[in-house]
Amino acid sequence: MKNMIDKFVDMCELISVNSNGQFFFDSVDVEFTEVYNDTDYPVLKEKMDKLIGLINEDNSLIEKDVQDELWLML
Amino acid sequence: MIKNWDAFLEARLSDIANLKGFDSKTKSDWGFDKDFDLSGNLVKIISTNKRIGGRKLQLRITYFDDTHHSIAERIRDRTNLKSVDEFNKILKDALNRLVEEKEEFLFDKKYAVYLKEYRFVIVFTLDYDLKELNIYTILPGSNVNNVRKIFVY
Repeated sequence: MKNMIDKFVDMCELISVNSNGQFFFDSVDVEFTEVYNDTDYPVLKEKMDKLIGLINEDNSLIEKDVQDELWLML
Repeated sequence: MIKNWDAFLEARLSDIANLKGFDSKTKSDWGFDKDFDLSGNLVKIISTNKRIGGRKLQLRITYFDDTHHSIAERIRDRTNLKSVDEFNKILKDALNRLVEEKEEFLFDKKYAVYLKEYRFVIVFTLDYDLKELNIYTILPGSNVNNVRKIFVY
C-alpha cells in the first residue's frame, strides 16, 4: 500500500513545461493513473496545485528532493 | 518510471517529471528537447493493410488537442522519439496490428496500446462506423489505468 508521499511522487511524473515556460500539472492525463481513483486524490491534487504555483514562482525548486524537501513545503 | 522509491536516497523533481532539455538557468531552453523535430504534421489519414470488400480500410486520425493538451508535445516529452514523423510511422504499424485484433472496439470506450520497443503507451478510441481513430494521449512507460483493454505489441 502506497503512502501519501509515494502517490504524490507518482503524480509528479505528469508535471510538464509548456512553450511559454510555465510548469503545469497534466490534469487530463491523470485520468489514466492509479491515483485518480484514490480517496486521497482530492488532497493530493490540492498539494500539486500548490507545488505548481511554487515552482512557477521559483523554478530552482525543481532541483529539490520531492520527498524530503518539497513535500514539507506543501 | 520509478518503481522502487525507497531505493533512491534522493530524487529531484526534475528527475521525476519529464522535463527534457529543461535548464533553469536559461529560459529559452525551457521544456524543449533540442533533438526533437516538432515541425512535421501528425498524420491525418492512415490506409491499413486490412481489406474490406476488396478495398483497403482507411481511417481518419484525430487528436485530443487543445490549449492545454498537445499530442505532439506529449510525444516530445514522454517518448524517446526524435520527430513527429517517426511517431507517424510507429502509429501506422500499431494501427495495422490493432485492426487485425478480434476485439470489438466500443466507440465510447478508451483503449491503450503499450509499445514495448519504444516504451510508451498510446490511449485511443476507435470507431469503425465513422472510420476514425482518436489519439487521446501519450503516456510514458507501461502504466495505464481506466481503459477498457491494453494491447501490448
